[in-house]
Amino acid sequence: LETNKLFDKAKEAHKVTLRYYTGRLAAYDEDFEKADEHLSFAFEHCLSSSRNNERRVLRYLIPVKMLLGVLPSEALLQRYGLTEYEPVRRAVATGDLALLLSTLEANQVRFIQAGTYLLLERLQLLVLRTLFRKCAAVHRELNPAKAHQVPVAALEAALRLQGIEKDPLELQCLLANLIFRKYIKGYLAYKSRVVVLAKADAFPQLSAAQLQDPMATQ
Amino acid sequence: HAAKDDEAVPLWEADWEDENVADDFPARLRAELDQRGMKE
Repeated sequence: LETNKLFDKAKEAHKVTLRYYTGRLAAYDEDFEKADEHLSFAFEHCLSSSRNNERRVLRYLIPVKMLLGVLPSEALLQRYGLTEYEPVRRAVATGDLALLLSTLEANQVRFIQAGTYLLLERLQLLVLRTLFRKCAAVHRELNPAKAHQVPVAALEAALRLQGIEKDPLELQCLLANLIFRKYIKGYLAYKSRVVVLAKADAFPQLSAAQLQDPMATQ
Repeated sequence: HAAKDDEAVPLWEADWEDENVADDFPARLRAELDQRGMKE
């Protein structure tokens, strides 16, 4: 009986390891939902006594969840001592691109060694969406009659406030990307440099966003 | 799984978007856009 119990424990541990690596692989393949499923399993079934293993799983699970629009709570980051994610969380929550970029730079070696740099870099688009949402809200207050027509210049000004100068064409490209991936509903009027937002639900739930390139072959 | 099962502390936040964070950025942006004549 005792041996059986030991076997069960060993099997459980192998299962957790397998799910951890399957989850990481899925993240590399940009299948974030699948990655979330496997890594969440690994985290839930990881022994609470092995804090280090939990941290290893969380280092992947946190960026994957953030890409899916779910933030780690501050309590989680503190409990597991993953303080390097605190500014990343704040950047995503507030649309602070400058903070995201400076955090990526300051922790570059650490994130590259952990294998999470590329995942975290992808959060840029999410951060820009939050920032543009703020721009749209301020623009609506200033120009209620044209609330749905948000000039690209508003985003330019917002980025400049953060100390970021973006090439106007690059910015338009990023906005087109946000629309393409369904982070924003609307269209970009190139000549007038205005984003025309959909009348309803212009900023859909993040879970509805298309993280994978919709043109990529599955 | 005592720590993970502690339901009093949420580990993940899905509804953070409509959270009212103390943030002066919108006010600064409003001033900036106003100054640039982006109000009609």
